[in-house]
Amino acid sequence: MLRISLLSLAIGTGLAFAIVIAGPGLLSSAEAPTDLPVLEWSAEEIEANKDKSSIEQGLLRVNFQQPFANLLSLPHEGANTESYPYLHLELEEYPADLEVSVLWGKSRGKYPAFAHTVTSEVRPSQWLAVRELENWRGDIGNLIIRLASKTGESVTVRKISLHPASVKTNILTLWSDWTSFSPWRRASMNSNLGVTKLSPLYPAMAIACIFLLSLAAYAVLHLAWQRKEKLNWGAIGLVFLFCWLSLDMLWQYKLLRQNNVTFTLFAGKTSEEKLLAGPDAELFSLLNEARQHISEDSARIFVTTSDDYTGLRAAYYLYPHNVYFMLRGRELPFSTYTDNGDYVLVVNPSRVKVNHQTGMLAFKRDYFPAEMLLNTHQGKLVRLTK
Amino acid sequence: MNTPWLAVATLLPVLAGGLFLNRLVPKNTPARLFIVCGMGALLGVMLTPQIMHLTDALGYGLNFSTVIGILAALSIALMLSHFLPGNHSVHQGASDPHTLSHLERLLVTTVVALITLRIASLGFEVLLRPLFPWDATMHWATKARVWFEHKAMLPFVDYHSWLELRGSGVFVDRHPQYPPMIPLLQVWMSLALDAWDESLINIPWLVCFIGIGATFYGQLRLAGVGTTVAAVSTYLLISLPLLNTHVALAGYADLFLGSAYGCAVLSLHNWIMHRERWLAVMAVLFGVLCILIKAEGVIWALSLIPAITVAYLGRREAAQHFLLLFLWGVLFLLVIPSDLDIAGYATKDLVPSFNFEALRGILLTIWVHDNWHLAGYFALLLIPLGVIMPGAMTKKFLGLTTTVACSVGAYVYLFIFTGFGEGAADFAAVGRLSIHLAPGLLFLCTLVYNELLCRESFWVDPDAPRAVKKGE
Repeated sequence: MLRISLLSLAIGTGLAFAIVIAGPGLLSSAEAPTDLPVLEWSAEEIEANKDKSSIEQGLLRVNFQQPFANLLSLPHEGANTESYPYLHLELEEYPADLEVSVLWGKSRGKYPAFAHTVTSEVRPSQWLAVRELENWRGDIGNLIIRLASKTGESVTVRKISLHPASVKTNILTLWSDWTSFSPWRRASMNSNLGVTKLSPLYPAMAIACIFLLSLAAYAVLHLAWQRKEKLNWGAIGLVFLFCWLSLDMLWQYKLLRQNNVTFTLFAGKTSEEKLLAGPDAELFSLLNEARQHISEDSARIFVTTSDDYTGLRAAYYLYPHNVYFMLRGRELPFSTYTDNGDYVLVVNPSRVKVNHQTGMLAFKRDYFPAEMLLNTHQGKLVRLTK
Repeated sequence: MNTPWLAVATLLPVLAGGLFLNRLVPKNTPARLFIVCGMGALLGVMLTPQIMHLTDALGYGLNFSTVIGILAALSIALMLSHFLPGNHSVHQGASDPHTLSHLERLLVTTVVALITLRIASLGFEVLLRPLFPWDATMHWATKARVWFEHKAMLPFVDYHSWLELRGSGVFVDRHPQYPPMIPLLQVWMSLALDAWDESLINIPWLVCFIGIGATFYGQLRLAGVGTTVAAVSTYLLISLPLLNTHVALAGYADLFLGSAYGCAVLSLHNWIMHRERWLAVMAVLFGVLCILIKAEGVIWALSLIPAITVAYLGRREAAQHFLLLFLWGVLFLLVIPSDLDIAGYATKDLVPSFNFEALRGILLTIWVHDNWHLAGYFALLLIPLGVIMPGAMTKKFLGLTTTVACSVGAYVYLFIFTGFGEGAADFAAVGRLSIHLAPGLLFLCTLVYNELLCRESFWVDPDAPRAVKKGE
């Protein structure tokens, strides 16, 4: 049983690869010439701001001295997007929070019109199927790689290259994409794509195709070898299990990577320290400051912001106080519903205007006399005095 | 950190539930340990908030000692009842004399190792990560935070009422009417810790995940599935990515609703097969719990009724009843007021209108994205086989098939033909609602696969009475 299952699976996988190799149109543009040279930019050829970068042992070191991103311009004689569907970045050392974006435009000299930010965690050998980008069309004018990180960090770039379609690049990009990892996001609760936005092929569909091809192979082998015997559903089940395992190993790998991120962020911390290390760290710091100004436990607090996420989180962290935040509703209720002593936390961005001298709030021709208790760049806390 | 009390708060409900199941489940039931521990854990975890709700309603507030006392007393009573004469019933099904081959042993060992690794990975996230998901901070943990601080279930009202009452004695969040079970679970863990901990409040999600895994295996074994197929199928359930995400990023109700509905469906199927009273009790109990977890639970609980009808009536008679019920349903929708609320949905939103984008959303969610690995393809392959296989889904698994068909039908109708299609088009709700159906659907697929494995011939129903030839 095991023998026929493995053989069917091997034939099915082989057939799937044959389809990918024989039909490059599946993963790359069919019209594109395949004998083009790879466009490479070594450390010396990449144009970067000299004040922020240096060449060390053939590698380009880019330093983040200010809270601005660094731009690496890739000069070229003219390239066509259809001919170059894959971009490859080779990095040596980089911070964990490095953000990489590809910027491109159709005319030279101007700031690029289009941008794509890599949503998954950056890796030393990063392949990107740029052909999947909506505006990767026609001739490329200028091409820029944007790197962003915290001040004080640095990145070492070995090489950047644009590749024409080939079997090797198809497979390398697919593998890079399928094994890419992005930490938990809000949308994770609703959907798990299993790939990045630039994936040419979804793994579940690809493995399902391998399963169907293996099933066909099993049917042929059964007819050839075991025609008189009953169909072995155990063998078919085994093929299915192997296919499932291959998908699940990708998922388990990503879970283990996530475990590593979670451990780095939260291990050994108290509940409050975790919040100060988590995605809402800045907001939570503001709320900690605001809480010091709220004397009564039973106080009513109105949270106002035009950003749903910020408002919802701010309200949640302020419970068990009596918090009011109307999701997707009026930012601040009519003044007839507010009382003397109520608190209003204005978190940026907000349409509620605060007079910095008097603390008076204004929202849609409604005015709220108030005293300013806290004023930071993230938000303000006032107490109503009407 | 108050670790000993945290351990007590986690384990005592599991123990009480387990002892209750131990009292009910006949002695030689296949995989009895898994059923007792798995369903016991789920029952204990889901009934503890109901006890808390009751103590609060009786005026005792949310008091850790009171609830611990009740759970301990229940456990002791159940332990003592073991020595009393009474239920020592014996399972009537055939025992499984099959011994595992080397390959089967290797398979079982592999999937057990993978399940263990998955539980460890997800447990790690539950224990370390602070509360993260959107809905959790919108309407579940908001109540938990307030109730824990005030040691009482203070009322939550809608925005307008809160403003009218000037917030006096009432609180507000986005969905004040949602059932209190999920927040009470978080309150329970906080009471044990005597502090609000953003991570440890979510331990019940891990218990629930382990519980549904053990239950799934036990119920499959009880349904006559062999050790290897049951273990592999349990691994398929445990490894579903979206289900895993709802454990790692705990705080939503969908895992609990999926587990409760799964338990009800599985118990109902095995009750139809074996007619053992404890299975009927479990099906009813978990069916009721569905209603207490989330609004959609009402629809899932209702989907159990057709299976009971099929179990008691002939197929033709049951079909006539369903047709009549359908016509009543249509009439009901036509005459009731359009603003009436059914299971959290206004009736005006339930009027049919085809939504192509929602259909696309469902297809992508189940067969293209990696929410369910290959489970969609598993169902696509096995359900048609089960339908054409004589005596399988049309007879042996008819009750289960009816329930699954009703729930899948309701799911498809809700997204493709009503105003809720947006939740499928933007993937905001379609994946989450699939969690509720996953255990039942996977259970049915496994039974069909097992039938394929066990039958001598695809076209011959082994349970069908054979025609007696002349002269025989």
